Amino acid sequence: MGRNQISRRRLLGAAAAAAALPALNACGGDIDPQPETGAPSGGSGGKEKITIFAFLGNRLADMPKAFAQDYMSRHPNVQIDIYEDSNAVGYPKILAAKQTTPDKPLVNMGFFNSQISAQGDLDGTWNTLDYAALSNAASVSDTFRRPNSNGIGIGADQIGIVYNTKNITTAPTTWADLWSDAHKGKVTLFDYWWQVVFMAAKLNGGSLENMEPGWQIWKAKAGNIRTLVTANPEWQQVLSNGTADITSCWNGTGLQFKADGAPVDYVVPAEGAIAVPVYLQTVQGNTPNQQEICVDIVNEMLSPKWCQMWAETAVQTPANSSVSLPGDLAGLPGFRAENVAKLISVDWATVAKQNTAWRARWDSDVKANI
Amino acid sequence: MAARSEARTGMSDRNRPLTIAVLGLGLAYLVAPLVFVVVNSFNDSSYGGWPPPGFSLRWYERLADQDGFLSAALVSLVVAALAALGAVLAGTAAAVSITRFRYPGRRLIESLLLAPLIVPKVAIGLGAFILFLQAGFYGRDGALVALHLVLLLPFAVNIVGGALVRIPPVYEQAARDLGAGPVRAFASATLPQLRRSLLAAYLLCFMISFDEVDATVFVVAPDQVTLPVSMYQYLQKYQDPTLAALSTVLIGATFALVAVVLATAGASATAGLQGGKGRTR
Amino acid sequence: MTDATARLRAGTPRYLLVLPALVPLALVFVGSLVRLADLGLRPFRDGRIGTGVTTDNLRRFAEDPYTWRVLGDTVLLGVVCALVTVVIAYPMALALHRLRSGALRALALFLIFSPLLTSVVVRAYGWNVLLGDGGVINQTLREIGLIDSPLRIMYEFPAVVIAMVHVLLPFAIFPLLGVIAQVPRSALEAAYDLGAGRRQVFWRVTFPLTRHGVVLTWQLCFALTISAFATPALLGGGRVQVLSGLVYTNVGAVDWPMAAVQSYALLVLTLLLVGAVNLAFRITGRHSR
Repeated sequence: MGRNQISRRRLLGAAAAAAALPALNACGGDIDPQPETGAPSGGSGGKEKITIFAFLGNRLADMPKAFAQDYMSRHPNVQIDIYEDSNAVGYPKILAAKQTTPDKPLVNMGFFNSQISAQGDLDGTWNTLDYAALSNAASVSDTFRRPNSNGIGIGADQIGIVYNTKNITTAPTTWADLWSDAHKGKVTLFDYWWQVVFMAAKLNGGSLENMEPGWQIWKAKAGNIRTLVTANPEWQQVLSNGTADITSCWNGTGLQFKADGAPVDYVVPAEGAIAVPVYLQTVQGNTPNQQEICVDIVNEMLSPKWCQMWAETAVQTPANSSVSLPGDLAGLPGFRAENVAKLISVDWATVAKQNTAWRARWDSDVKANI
Repeated sequence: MAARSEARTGMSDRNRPLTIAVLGLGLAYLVAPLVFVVVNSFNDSSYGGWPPPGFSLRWYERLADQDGFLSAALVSLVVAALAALGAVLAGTAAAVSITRFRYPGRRLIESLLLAPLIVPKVAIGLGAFILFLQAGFYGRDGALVALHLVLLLPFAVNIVGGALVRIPPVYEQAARDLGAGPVRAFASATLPQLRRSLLAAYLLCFMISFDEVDATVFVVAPDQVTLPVSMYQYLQKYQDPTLAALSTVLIGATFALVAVVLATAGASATAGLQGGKGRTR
Repeated sequence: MTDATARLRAGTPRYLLVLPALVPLALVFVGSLVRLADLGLRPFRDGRIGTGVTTDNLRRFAEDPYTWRVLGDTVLLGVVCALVTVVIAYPMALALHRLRSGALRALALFLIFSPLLTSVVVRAYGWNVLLGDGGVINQTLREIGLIDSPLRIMYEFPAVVIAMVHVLLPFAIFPLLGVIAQVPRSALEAAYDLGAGRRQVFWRVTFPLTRHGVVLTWQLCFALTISAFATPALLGGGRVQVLSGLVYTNVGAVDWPMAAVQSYALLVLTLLLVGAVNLAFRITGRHSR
């Protein structure tokens, strides 16, 4: 009877032992970082190794990969590695590396969205760039420059509305459609999609600094949400199989769903879409030599050739104003002049600071009521 | 009398209908979602539209074009093989210690060995990532194996320990009395009876390691992705049924492996998965 | 041979044998938990992790009413999933134990393991096709006229239970098989020889002798459920929130101090519940004796 595999008391003990571990912290002490062994930053006749962080997404790594091949062929002393990961996993790793081994960053530079760029400002993750020293920055407008000079934009995605064209015959025209009774139980959103709260606030006298009107609306209309999704395939599936008819989504992602054959389309609401620039950032902890190469790479990526490739593969508005988009892209709703003029800019520093509080509100006001 | 009880304890050669029915229902439940995955792998629709508008093999062609999966599968196989081996070896030694001896601290050790079961894997992953960075261990293949080994230990200790308590130490004692050293006594008297449980523990550990993604995703360096991690990353990029094709290939390959093992080693090879039946008297 | 070496031979092996397991455990697992505890005591303000030591995170955790709701949901999900798993796994293990054909047994074991061969997102696709609003089950029910509007199974509590139990089954069937195999055949034979029927033998002999294993398996499944985040996230549609899901989002959102506190909260939760079950088991065990 008593000789079963693990006894119940053992399992209890296991939990107790693990729970007691914080106490060890006091006497444990830190493990000292070991001296660098075989440091990648060679210099002793070896190649300089640069790691570029790239978005994990449909064709988002195409440009960095093609660029790396081209750059390495012209600079034999530089080796470029591309590190593709999602923002949710990639940035925490970069930050953890910065905090534990500050002189050995996980990546030397990379592509980061607006929110992560602002988060990085708070964490001191980025190096400042001297815009005057970047020859190609001259054709990059102010909307793609950052007040603190941490990084520079290469393109901009946008967030609007994606809907099921089979189940909704007249295309949605306003952000308010998302919280209208017409779509009760037929809305899907990515988890923690504060953008719809922001738009609800904005349309009802609030702002990024005063989200209260938005929270009130979504608290009352949480029943509109059929499901919150946490992965792109799931998003596409619920939008195409009739589970949900409408969502707020990236332009690039929505068009990708459409290209796969899903019965969906992207529209820009009358109030405008939310602009989400993508920034090239160089990372603190780079050696002077690495930083010099990174700045050179940033400058070359901003050139019309590479900036255009980025815009086309990522389906984004190019930062370099001398890039002209091919016709099939320029005709899309997101790129029409009247819609570009309406793009809504967001103060991402506020977003990064409020992120924790907003997630808590999302939990208690939205999630708790769906 | 004996024959009667033989029959009624279910030890006859006949499979009772109830047995088959219960098992059939349970297995149907296990297989149900996988049937759709397998069918979807032949779905002509790029986003897995259901019912499939047509059937094609293009996701298998696409799978063959992805060079990342093969290397990731190799990494996973090596990591799973080593981690499971390490976990079974270390777990067996630990199981012998805690089941065959009485000493102070034994229960604490037993508890500690089971603790990795309880902490969320994401949290272990983040903690381990920071730890490996500090120790200059990040990105080494050993780091991945070590993490998996620790996550597998509870399962190995559990299964092997469970078998050990059923094997009376008298045989080992007898071998010692006949002059064998402790290692030889264990190897000649206990190990043969433990064989099946060791196989079971190894298989379970291998499968768990091969499937582990929650903690691994934090610890891997860009050039050492495992198969589940690369599947996870593929899903962030594309939504097409290529992963359904990959899953189908994995299921098919495993099935073929099981069939081959059965054909060569005979059914007794899987008897160990029964928890060492036959030694229960 | 001196006294000292004699003592060494007699005493050391028992400790030495644990070392191969304890050393990696101490280095990797305990090390990770210590790093985590360190993070849990760091301040987190305005979206960044500060330096110094604080108990702010504990307060943040305890004062958030939503956390307590999630805690409740987590416990409920853990209790229900573990219960359903054991109820399904036990007869399956028993049937598997009684299965005479080696080939059939191998096939069954292969099928039991097959869920582990697919990624959780791929499995979620299958569940959606089966359980979704326009899924196979709802369409069938509608065609035979049993329902007018689709049953909401997907993205609700039932879907999470169905999918969780599915992945828990291999982990439950295994230990139960071992426990059932431990029931001495002589006990069964004796019961039959004394004229007991099948049903009586099961409830009077087999089940009591495996009861502790059932409780243990339940506890194991409970622990595995409450530390899973992907399945509740993918099939719960935001309605089923579990603590480990919050840990995952907090890791991504750089609120590591909170993620650490929540991880330890999960530990304490398991500790309390497993302890409570042990206590209840001991009390009822005393009564039945």
